[in-house]
Amino acid sequence: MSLTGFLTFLAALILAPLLAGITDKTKAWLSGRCGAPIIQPYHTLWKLIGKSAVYSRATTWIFRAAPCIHLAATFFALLLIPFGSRTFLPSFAGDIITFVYILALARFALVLGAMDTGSPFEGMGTSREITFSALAEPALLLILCTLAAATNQRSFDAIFQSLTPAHMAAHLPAILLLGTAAILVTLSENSRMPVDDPTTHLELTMIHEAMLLDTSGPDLFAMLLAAHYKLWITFTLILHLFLPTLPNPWADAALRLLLMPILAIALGLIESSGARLRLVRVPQILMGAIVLSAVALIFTLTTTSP
Amino acid sequence: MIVCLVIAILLPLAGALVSPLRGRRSPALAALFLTGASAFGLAAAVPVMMGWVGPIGFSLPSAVPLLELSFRLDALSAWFWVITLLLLPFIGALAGEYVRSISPRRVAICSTFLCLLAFSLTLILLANQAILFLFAWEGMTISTLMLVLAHDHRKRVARAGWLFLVMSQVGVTFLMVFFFMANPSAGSLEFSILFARGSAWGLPAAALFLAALIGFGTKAGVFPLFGWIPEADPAAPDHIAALMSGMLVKMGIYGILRAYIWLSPLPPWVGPLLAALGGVGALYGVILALAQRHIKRLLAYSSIENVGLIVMGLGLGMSARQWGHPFAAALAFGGALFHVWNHAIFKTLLFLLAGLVQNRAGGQGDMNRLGGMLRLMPRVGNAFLVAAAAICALPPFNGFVSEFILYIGAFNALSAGEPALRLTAVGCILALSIVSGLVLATFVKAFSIIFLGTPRSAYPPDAPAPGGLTLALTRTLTLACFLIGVFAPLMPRLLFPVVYLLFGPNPPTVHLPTGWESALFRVTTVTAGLLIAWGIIAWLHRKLLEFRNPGQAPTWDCGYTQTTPAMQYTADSITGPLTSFFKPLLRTRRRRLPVGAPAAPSAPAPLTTYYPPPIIIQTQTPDPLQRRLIDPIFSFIFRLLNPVRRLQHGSLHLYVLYIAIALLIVMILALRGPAGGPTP
Repeated sequence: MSLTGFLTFLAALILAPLLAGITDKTKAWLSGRCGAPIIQPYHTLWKLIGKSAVYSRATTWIFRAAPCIHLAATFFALLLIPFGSRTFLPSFAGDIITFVYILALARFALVLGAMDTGSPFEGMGTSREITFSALAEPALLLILCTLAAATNQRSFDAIFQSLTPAHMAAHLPAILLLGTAAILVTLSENSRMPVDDPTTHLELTMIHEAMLLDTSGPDLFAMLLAAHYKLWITFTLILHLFLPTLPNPWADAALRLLLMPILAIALGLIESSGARLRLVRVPQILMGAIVLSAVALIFTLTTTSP
Repeated sequence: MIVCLVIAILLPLAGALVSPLRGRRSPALAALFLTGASAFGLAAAVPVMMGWVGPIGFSLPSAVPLLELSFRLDALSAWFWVITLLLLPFIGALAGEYVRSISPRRVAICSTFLCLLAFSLTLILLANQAILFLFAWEGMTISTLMLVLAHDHRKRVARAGWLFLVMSQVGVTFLMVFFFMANPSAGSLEFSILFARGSAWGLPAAALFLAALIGFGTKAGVFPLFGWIPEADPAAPDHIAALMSGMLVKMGIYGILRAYIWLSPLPPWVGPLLAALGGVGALYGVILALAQRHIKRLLAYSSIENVGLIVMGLGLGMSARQWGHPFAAALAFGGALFHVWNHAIFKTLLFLLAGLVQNRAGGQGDMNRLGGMLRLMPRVGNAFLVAAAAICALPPFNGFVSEFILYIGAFNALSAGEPALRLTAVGCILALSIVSGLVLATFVKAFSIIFLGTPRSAYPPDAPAPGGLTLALTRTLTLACFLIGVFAPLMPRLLFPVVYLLFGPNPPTVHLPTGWESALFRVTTVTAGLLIAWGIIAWLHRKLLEFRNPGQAPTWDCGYTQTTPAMQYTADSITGPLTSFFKPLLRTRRRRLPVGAPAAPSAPAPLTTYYPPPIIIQTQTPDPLQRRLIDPIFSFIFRLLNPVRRLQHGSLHLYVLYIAIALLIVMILALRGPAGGPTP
C-alpha cells in the first residue's frame, strides 16, 4: 500500500467517466458539431442513480444481481492494476492472471444478465460479446505474459517497476507489437469503433449497448460506471506499454494523469477515422492481435538471457 | 490401516454379490456398501495421501497362475482414490433415481455392475501386479458397458457402447504390449520387480511409454483417441455418464503417470510431446463443444478439453523436470493433479444437473428446444451456474485455482535456459488462454440457452421434479466447488506428497510448498474482497431501490410487443460467429430440406412472390476427427478383416472346437521342451 497508489486509485474512481466525455467531445468536433459538455457522463450517472428501475417479467434474480457483480469485479480489476509503478493493494505473483480472470467474471455476469431477458437483442449482443472476448482475452493475457517474460517478474508491481527506459529500449520491437495488440484489444473490449458503435442503438452496430437495453436506473448506473472503469483500465495498460516508468512515483503518476486525456482524444480520432468493420472481420483482427502478442513473446524469449 | 484397506476392497465386491438377491431394493443396498467402502477407504487413503504414513501394501497367496494378489497404496494412488471414494457414494445414492422405470431384475443387474465398477476402480488404483491390473481394467470397461446397456439398449446406445468397447480393447492391446514387453527377463509381473530401477527394458523406454500412452490415452481421452467420449456420454444414464467423465478418464491419467514414474528416465521429447497433445486436445475439445446442441455432447467435449489441459500440465511438468526446473515442474504437476480433482467434481455435478434438466423437459436434450429452466427448477439452475462458473475458471471457484497454478508453473518455466522448455511453456500459456476464452463462450451458451429466457418448446407438465436427495447431493457438490476455491492455500500441502513422488528417487531439496501458498493466499484474499465488494454494492443497490417501487413490464425488445420464444437466440446461433470463425475445422453442413409434399401438377402455383415460403434448414457438425481419420481407418480395418468374419458364425459347438484345437496346439508346444513354452 502506498500513498501514490491510493491517490491514483481515487483519481481513477472519480475521473474515469471524464475519458468518455473527452472522447465524445473529440468525435463531435471532428464531425463539425459542438458536442455535449465533457462532464456529460457525470450528468447521466447522476440522473440514473436517482431513478427507479423497471424489470422485465421474464427476468430472474440473475438480472438483478448481474450489474452488482459486474461493477464489483471491474472495481476489483481496477484495484489490481497499478497506475504508475505502485498498486493500491500489495501486488503478488500471479496477480496478472487474477486480473484477467476477474475481468472474465465481470463479463460472465454481464452476458448472463443480458440473456436473462429472453430478448433477441440481448442475445445478439451476448453472441457478439462472447465471440470477441473469446479472442480478446487471450490477447490481453499474452500481452501481460510477454511483459512478465520481458522483465522476468510475475506481479504487476514488479513488472512495471522494471520497465525502465533502458529496459524498454532493449525490448523495443516486442513493445511496439504489444502496443498494437493492446490498441486492438482496447477497441474491442470497450466496444469502440471500428468494432462497435457506442453512439447508436441500432441492431447492426450493437454489442455493449445491446446488452444494456433492458437495464434501467441504478442497474444502468452500475453498468455504465463499470464500462468507464474498464476504459480507464485498458488505457492504463496502453500507457504502461508506451511510457516507461519514471523513478519518482509522484512525477510518474502526474505524467500519466496528464496523458490519459491525450489517449482519450486519440481514441476519439481513431473512432472518427473510419466506418465500423464488418463483424466477420473483427475476430480476424483479434486473432491478429493474438498473433502479434505471441510473436512479441517469442521475440522476448529469444532476446532475454536466462 | 491395512485392515481398512482390505475392507474397502472387499465391500464393493460384497455389494456386487448381494445385489442380485435384493431386486428392486438393490440400489439402496449398493449405495450402502459403496458408502461403507468409501469410509474405510478414506480412513486408509487420506494418511497416505497427506504423507503422514508411507506407502502401505499387502499380498495374498493366489491359486491362479501368473496372477499374484499384490496390493500397494502410495501417495499417487491415494490421490486418485480419495476423489473416487468421495464421489462414488453420490453416484450410488443417485442410482436409485434412475432405475424406476426398469424391471426389478434389470435393476439388480445395474446395482451389481455398479458395485463391480467400484471394485474395479479400487483394484486399478491399488494393484501392484500386471495381471491384476489388466483384470481390473477390463472389469472396469465391462462393468461400464453393462451399466450403459442395461438401462437402455436401443440401437443408438448399443452403437455407443460398441464404440466404447472397441476403443477400450484397442487400448488394452497396447497395455498388454506395455506390460509384457517391458521387462521380459523379470521373474514376476509384480510392479516393484517388473519396473525395478536400472532394469533393462525389452523395448526402448520411449516405445514403451508410447504404448502406455496410447493404451491409457484411449481411456483418458487424449487427442486423438477420445472418440468414445462424445458418443458414450450422451447415451449413458446421467450418473454413469458422470462416472465415465469424472472417474474413468482419471484412471487413464493415473496410468500415464504410473508409466512415467516407472519408465523414468525418458527421452527429453516426451514432455513436449505430451504437452502438445494436451494443448491440441484441449483446443479441439472446446471448439467442438462450441458447436454442439445436445447438452451432454457439449459436456463430453468439455471433458476432452479438460483432460487436454491436465495432460498439457503433466507434459509441462515432465519437460521442466527434465531440464532441471523443479519449482516449475512441481507447479505444473500440482496444477494438473489438482485439476483432476476439480474436474471430477464439477463434471459430475454438470452431468447430474444436465440429466435433471433433460428429465424435466421430457427427455429432450437438444438445447434449441430448452429455455427458461431457472424459473421451473431454481435450485438446479443455481447449481448449474456455480458449476459453469467453476469450469470457466472464474474466481472464487475451484477451477480458477488449478488453472492459476498451471499458469504460474508455465511462467516459471518461461525463465528457463533451455529453449525447448521455454517453447513448451509458451505453447501452454497460448493454449490455456485461448481455451479459457472459448470455454467461457461455451458455458455462457449452455447456461443461458437452457436456463434463461423463455422455454423454446412446451415441456410436459407432469415431468418428475428432482427429488430431495438429488438436490441435497448437488448442493453438496456446489458447496465443494466454492469451498475448494476459497480454501485454496491449503491445497499445496495436500499436493506435496504426490508431486514429490513424481520426481522419482532423487527429489529436489527445494521447499516446494512455500512459494505457492502465499500466492494462493493472496488469491483467496482477492476473492474474499471481491465477495465483500459485491455484498456492499448489492446492499447499496437494494437501499436505492427500496422506496422507489421498481416496476414490472414485458421485455422491451425495442418496443416490439409480439415477441415469441422462437425469436430468442438458440444454441446454434449464440455461438454462430465462433463456429463460422472455425469453419475450416468444423465444416458445419447446412442442408435445406423440402417442406411438405410436392404440389400436384394440376394445382395452381403457390403465391411466392411477396412472402417467403416456409423452409427447413438442417445443420450438422459431425466430429471432423471422427469423420476424416477414425472412420476411414476403421472401415479399412473392417474391410481387411471381412474374410475372418466367416469364423464368427455363432455356433457354440464350433467355438468349443476352436478352444479344443487351441489347447491342443499349446499342449504340443509345451511338451516339446523348455524352448517351446512356459514351464509349469
